Amino acid sequence: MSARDVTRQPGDATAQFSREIMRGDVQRFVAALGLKNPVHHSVDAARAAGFPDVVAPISYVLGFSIVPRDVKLHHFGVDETRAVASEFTFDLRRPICAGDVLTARTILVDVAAKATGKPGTILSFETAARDPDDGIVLIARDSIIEVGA
Amino acid sequence: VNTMPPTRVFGPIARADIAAICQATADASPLHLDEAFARAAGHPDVLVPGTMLMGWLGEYIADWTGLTFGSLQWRVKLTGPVWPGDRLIIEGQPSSTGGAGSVEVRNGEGRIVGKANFEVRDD
Repeated sequence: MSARDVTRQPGDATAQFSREIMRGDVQRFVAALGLKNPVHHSVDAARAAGFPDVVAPISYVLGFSIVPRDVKLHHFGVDETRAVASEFTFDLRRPICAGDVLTARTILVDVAAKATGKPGTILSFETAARDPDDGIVLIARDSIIEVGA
Repeated sequence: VNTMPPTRVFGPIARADIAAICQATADASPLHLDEAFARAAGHPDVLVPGTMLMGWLGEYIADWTGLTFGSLQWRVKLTGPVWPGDRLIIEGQPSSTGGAGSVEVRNGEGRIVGKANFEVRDD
């Protein structure tokens, strides 16, 4: 699918993806950032605090870590070289821990011309992550500015 | 939430940490990992993923409020690029109405590269 084939209609969605939150990925993420809260990197500390396994920081569980970023960009015809991440909103309903299996797809919710500065297009997305019981765990909204469009 | 939080400094941001973040979040964007690609796209270096800034913001807000896991709603706006080697200075301000706050992230030159607002959910 080339960028020209994409209609970019609000409501259009990617395929659905499932991903298990892996303990090693959470620990690698936390180590790279130097985060100090032990519930993020120590299983013992997480269990002592009442969690089943290490707790993923909110920022770890972004929509694109469930729906692969390249899938999302390709689906909506976004040119990687002109795409800049802009705004993120998280509504986290419960802690997410290693071992959780989350399912999500990303929906295009709005397309708008950039109002100020250099010309561009703002694409707004919503990704709702659900657990196996179909309960919503996280609603993440994000915007990408495609400059020069 | 209603107390003034301390200012914190994160970084300097290492290329190895950018690679680790990208691996952990399945973000294979060459803008973060391939310097030649980033330069060809008009940038002076690879772009630091917004995930790093948000990770530090998350810890800052969690330390401030003591509420990390499922009772916060927050919005982040990335307002400028962050480059390898940058240090980020994070500073928060409680809201006058309570139960909420705002945070600014500046780079070493004092430019605001990110802003966040958060509130504690009642449910």
